[in-house]
Amino acid sequence: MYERYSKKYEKKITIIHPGEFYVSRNDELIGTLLGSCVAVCLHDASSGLAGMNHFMLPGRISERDIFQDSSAKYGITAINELISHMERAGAPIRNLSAKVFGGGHVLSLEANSVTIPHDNVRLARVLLEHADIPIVASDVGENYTRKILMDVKSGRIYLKKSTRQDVIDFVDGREQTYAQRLGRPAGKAVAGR
Amino acid sequence: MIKKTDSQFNKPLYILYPGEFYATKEDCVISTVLGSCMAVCLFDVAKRIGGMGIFIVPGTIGTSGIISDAIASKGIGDIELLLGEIVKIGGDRRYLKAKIFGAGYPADSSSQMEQVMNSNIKFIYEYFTLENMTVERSDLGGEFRRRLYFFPWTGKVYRNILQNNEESSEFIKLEQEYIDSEFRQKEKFGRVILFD
Repeated sequence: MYERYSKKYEKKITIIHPGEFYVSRNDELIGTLLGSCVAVCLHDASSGLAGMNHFMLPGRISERDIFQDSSAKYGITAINELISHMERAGAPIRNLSAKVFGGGHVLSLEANSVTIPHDNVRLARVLLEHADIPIVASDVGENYTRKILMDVKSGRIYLKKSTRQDVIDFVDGREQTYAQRLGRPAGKAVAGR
Repeated sequence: MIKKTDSQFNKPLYILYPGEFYATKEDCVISTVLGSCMAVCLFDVAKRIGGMGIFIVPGTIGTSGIISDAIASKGIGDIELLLGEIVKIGGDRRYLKAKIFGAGYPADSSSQMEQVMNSNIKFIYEYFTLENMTVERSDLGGEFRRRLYFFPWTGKVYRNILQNNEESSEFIKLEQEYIDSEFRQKEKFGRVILFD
């Protein structure tokens, strides 16, 4: 996570990296760059509080046995943490609205690169629906990397999709390292199926 | 099935997807969101064992009763899987009680789908009468999605009706995938042959 000042928007921007989340009520922007990762943006219009996270699952979720499968827990924890921090900061769950972005098929993983982004998005949507938070906007899938900026006060999202190869390479490398940091190489879970 | 280690109940929370079943001795909460599928919660309060199964009977059932019906035997099989799981961890079939939920219509359902749902509701009552099991609570039908929290130790169930995400519900999508695969596979289940 780092901060910089944007001359274009005349506001401070906080950039978050994979695995991080940020909750704020100041007049600023929260930004991130997504490949196959997913960002959940929560906003409470009445208190002007907003938060964003950035997570990915290091492998495919096996359907039957969660006890041997630790992939889903990163996503579940990421969304739980964000919701509970929003609540603690003063935004009750019934006031929240959510936006979901990311899950592009850009990673150079093996043949399973279609299912991992799909699982990421599905997990986010399932958990948000289970908490009964309305998903007001989402832009997921397809072969794009996405740069998103969220305006904390209004909850508006600026989204820029890109297919530029250098951006894809950068995101790819970063998400591979992140997946490896989670303790298992990306896509390993598929081998057991 | 996904597991949340922290929830508002301070217990582990398991979220089941359509077509799954789970039985446990643990002090936890089993949860799901239901559209057209049915959830059967079976529990044994004395032994603190409970389980939940989510399934659908793929098709309408004839008038000849559920035992001799080929499609109904699929539904019986699904409940038997859950029952077997409960018996395996030490539950006693005689003392089990049931609560049943679900079988709502999707908002844009065809008349054929409504027939299937009605036949599902008929099936589940007939099954529990036949098995001589007490149905403590039931809440079936309606045009909405239900969220259930089931406590296997006490058999208590909290039910909410979800307000948001009507158009793009992920659980309905998951359910649709499950229902489609069930309808495709239904030829595999033949008639029950009774040996006298």
